Amino acid sequence: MKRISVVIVLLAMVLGPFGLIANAQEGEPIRIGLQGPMTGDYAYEGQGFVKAVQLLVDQVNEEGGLLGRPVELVIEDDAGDPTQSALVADRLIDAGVVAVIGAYNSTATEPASEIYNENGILHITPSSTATRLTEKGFAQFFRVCFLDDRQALFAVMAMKDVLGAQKIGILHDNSTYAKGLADWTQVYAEEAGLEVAFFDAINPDDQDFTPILTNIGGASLDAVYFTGYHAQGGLLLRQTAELGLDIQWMMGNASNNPEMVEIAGVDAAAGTFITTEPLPQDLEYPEAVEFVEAFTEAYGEPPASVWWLLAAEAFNVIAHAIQETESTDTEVLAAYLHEEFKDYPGLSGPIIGFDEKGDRLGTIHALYQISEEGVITYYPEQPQPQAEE
Amino acid sequence: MNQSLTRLVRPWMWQLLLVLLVLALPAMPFMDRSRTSLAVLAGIYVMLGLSLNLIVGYAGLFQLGHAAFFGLGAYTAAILSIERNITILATIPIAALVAGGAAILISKPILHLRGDYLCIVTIAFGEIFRIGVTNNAFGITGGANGLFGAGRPELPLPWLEPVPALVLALVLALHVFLARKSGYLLRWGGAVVIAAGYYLPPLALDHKPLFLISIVMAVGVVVLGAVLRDHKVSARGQMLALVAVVIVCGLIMAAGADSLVTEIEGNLDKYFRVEDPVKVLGVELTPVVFKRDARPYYYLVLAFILVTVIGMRRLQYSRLGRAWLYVREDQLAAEAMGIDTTQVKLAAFAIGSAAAGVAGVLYASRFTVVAPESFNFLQSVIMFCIVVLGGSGSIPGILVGTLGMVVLPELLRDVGPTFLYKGINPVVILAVLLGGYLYGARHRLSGATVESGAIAGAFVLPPLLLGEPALSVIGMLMVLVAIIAIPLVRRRLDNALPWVAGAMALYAVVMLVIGKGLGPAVEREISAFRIMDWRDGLMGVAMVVMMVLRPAGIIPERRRGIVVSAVAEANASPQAT
Amino acid sequence: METFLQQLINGLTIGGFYAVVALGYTMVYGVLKLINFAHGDMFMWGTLAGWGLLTTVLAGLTDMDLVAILVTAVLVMAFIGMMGMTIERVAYRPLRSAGRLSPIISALGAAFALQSVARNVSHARWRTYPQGLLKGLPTLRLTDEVAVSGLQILMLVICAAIMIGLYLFVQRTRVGTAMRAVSLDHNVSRLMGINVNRIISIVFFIGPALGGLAGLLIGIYYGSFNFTLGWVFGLKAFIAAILGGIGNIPGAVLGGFILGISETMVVAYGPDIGLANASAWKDAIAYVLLIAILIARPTGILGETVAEKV
Repeated sequence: MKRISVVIVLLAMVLGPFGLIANAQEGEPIRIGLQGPMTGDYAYEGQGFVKAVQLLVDQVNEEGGLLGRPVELVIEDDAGDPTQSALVADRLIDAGVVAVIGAYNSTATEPASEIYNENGILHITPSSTATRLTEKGFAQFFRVCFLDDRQALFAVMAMKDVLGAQKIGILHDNSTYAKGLADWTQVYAEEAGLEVAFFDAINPDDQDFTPILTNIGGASLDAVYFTGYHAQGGLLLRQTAELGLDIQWMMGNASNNPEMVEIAGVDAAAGTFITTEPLPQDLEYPEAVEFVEAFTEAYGEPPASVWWLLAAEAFNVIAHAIQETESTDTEVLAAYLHEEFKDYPGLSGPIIGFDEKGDRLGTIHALYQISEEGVITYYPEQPQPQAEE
Repeated sequence: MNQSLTRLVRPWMWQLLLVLLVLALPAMPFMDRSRTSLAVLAGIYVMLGLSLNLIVGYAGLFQLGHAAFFGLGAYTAAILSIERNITILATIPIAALVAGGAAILISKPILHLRGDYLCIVTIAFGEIFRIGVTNNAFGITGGANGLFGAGRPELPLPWLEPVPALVLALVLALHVFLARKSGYLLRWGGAVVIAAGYYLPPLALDHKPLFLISIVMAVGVVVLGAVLRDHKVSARGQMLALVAVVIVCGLIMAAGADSLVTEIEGNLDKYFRVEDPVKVLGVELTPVVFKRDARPYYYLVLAFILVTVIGMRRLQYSRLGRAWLYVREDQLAAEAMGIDTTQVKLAAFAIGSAAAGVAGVLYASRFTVVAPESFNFLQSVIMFCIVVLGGSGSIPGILVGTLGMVVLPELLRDVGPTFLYKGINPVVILAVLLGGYLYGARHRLSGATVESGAIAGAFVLPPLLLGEPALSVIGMLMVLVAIIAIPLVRRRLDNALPWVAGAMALYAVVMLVIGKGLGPAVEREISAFRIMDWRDGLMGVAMVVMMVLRPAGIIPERRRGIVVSAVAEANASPQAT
Repeated sequence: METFLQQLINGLTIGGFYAVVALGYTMVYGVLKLINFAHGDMFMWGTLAGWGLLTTVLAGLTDMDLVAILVTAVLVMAFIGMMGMTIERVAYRPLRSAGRLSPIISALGAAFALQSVARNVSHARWRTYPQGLLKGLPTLRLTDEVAVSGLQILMLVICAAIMIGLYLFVQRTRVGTAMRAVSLDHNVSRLMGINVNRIISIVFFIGPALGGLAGLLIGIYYGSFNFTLGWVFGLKAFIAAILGGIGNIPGAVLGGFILGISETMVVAYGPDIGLANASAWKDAIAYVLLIAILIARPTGILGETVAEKV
């Protein structure tokens, strides 16, 4: 019994102080949550979210806040993990947030979106593109990125029209996002009459992809679409060159990161195509130019990934909705975003609006190519835009 | 725990604390949402720890792939719930069967392997499971995305359209069963008191929702019974305590009936979705489905833990439990005594894995997303650490292990730079003082109180006087240094007190002089520091330190049999193998 | 046939790395009967330290890359070796008589700590070695299609040299003999006048130092890494050690090559025998192989059957 008592005293000692500290603050700022991977494999992206959104929050506060109230950003780390994501969602609700921006990856967004919607909190994800997220009929869930299937269609058109490919390969890394994109690409490729002669996954924990590259090299494909993340993309390119194989790579938007060229080496990376949302610095919209400049000034380098920009976009959408409706009531905000929010000059291009599921209308994907100097540059020839839904 | 600590605090204090805590457990969800949410997760890990304890602690087998069986349960529940629309709590027997069955199939050929080889094979099985579900084995696991949309728990509650007689009969039967089996409380007398105290007020007041309180209190009484029995309280004392509790509860119910009912009905709507009643065998049941809020889950998990703990304790002292002990301590001797060691080990694997499967169902119903990364090797490692850190084979140890491996790392989120220095946190000071005092007392050092006072003063005063709260972080680091340094000084000096006090005073003076300039710099450094980045590292260091200080775990299992443990010790050392 | 040859070379390269890392596991297990879970992360620290040196202090030397790499190799080996000795002293020695569960937790704790520091040092990003190290090496063309790059040959030669060197060291030198004695029985070795603690320290220097060297080689060969490298690669190398029979140096080497080649072949020919997605399943197949071998030969391929305590 003594032992149990010891346990309990320990419990009380550990839990007690934290209990005292909690619930200490209660103020009047409008709290907006930011949930993302601050640690773990995607930490770089999550920390970028914070940089981008904090920049805008500071700007808004300098101009007097929203509805005369200051804005406070509440940052929580989900490490990209669904279990932690659910915990973090509860923490943000406790913190009294009005709206939440996040999470980075679809697996983490999923459980959180349920919790936010049950508790009436506006939830906008900047980067989770898995199609199924918006299929649950949540009225308060939106996304400012575009779905996997949009990009898949774009990639297929690019391979068919721009590269003139007939026989293609698709490679993913078994992550939620990459697998989704790969599956959609396969569907659209077959619809478009392309032959998908190779479809496989790599294990992103591996360092050596030569066996599968040798296979791809032996399959004489016109183009191979890799839908995974940039680190593995870089290794694939480097090892392709080392094996002396001639593979025309096309990468998805998760590989849209200058680090990929660094990992691969300029020689190995040159000539690779990338389908992505336009890079921050290639956006000619004045809002985008202004944001990139402010970001560069604040942090000494331009935003490295388009997701950072979209996180900032999500914040702008929330702030705009609050200002227009003069309300912080989620139902009012959600109704506004669904019905009245049209043709907003977004950082990543005009936002035509949101459909009834909360998905962003339209598409803005573009084709890029890595130049001989290793710079990711806008490719002059773009596939014909697809018909809008 | 070390002796000095137990000497410092008198037994009745422990008992008071214990009773308070048992009473506080059901109230915990009213603290706040996120902590309840964490408590639910911790509860699931306690279940996992208990199940793994059976394999590692009781039977002494290495198992570093336990997450696979947890996952099997979770996936089974999710698949049945999504594909076949079976209410998720009803999948518990199936999930237990699948996980237990898989354990039998898998472990049968490998049980003869020696310790380390068994360890690596279980790692391999865990990884095969993870890779399998990631690659959508059999087309039913949803691949890397996992499955989503598993059902929430659904309870058919009779008390909404009450059949009081049935409830009464059920609970009476439970009490009598418990009383007969293990001497919990009094037998028939106790049951009558409980029945009268808990089930009459709701009836008499005609407020049916009060039955909910009755059910919670009944669970509380069972725990209270265990406590009283363990403290060898006499029958009369037990009866008195029981009657007192029951009367108080009855009074509260009677006095606050109306507001309680409004409260309960309001909460009901907040936490549950009430569905249309269904008739089963002539009894009208109202199914209520859990919403996403953590609070109802807390009670659900608590109930499962209670049942598991009772089950584990009964198993431990059963014929099978004694056989496990024997096999763990000396396999050859056990075999010579006619124990079928393979069967006995197999039973441990099967039962432990089945229990993990049940925990998996709870997990699936709580998070509704079942994805491969929740069942990876790291999870197996965490479960293993929960068992071994707390003290392999000991049930309280599992609580401590869960606290260390699951709860503490999450609580670290609160310990941001702001926590460290925004204002001088009185709790921190208190903790330091207490720590210093206990530390001193443990080493029976004279003047320990003065010393810890000096330490705390040096730590508290400069930041306070200068209004530079960031300096307290340096102070805290200095406390650590002092705690390591003082014993070293002591070893060389007869009377170290003046030296310690002098050093502390010197530190305080230096801080007072340079603090004004140092403060902002320290503050800048700290604001860039995020403890979450170092969480795993801290956990790792803590694991090493704990093992070095207490190799048998924080709360080791009480050894039964002196000769046996002596032999075990000899075997455990590498030289003997 | 040509693809087969190419795949064989791919497999040999991977296997060589597995083998060198497996040596560290095997040596430690031999003397302490301890699975040193921190070994994988020490190996990753080798990559990290090499990256740190080559991109900062020695960045000026990378034009003369052979010199830079030699200096780095010596420094990295010394550093990781010391790290191994420290970990043994702090985390394992106090637990030597504490049963078998506690050292495993302690080892896992050390691994967590090493990984956490590495993550913070590298800011959780993929880090790249300077481009074009050792690019001047000639490529060996076996046929028109099949080529072995100079880097690959160099890696294989170094791996082979390490293994042979270590084998000779253990078999022929006094210290090596003492190691073998210690691995048989600590107490008797002590009676024979062997300083057991010293021998264990030496083992904990050599094993991690070799792991660190392998880490550096991996960094040069693949050009980039992140902090999770050690965990994954370590687990594989550990399997290799078990496959060959843990505690046995030629066994670790054999296990490494078997694992590397079989993984490669599964990826290469899996689709032909109806295993779609073979690349994704490859690790699972490696584990199945492990279990099959252990069921058939519980002590690994070259492991000696040690009688259970009587």
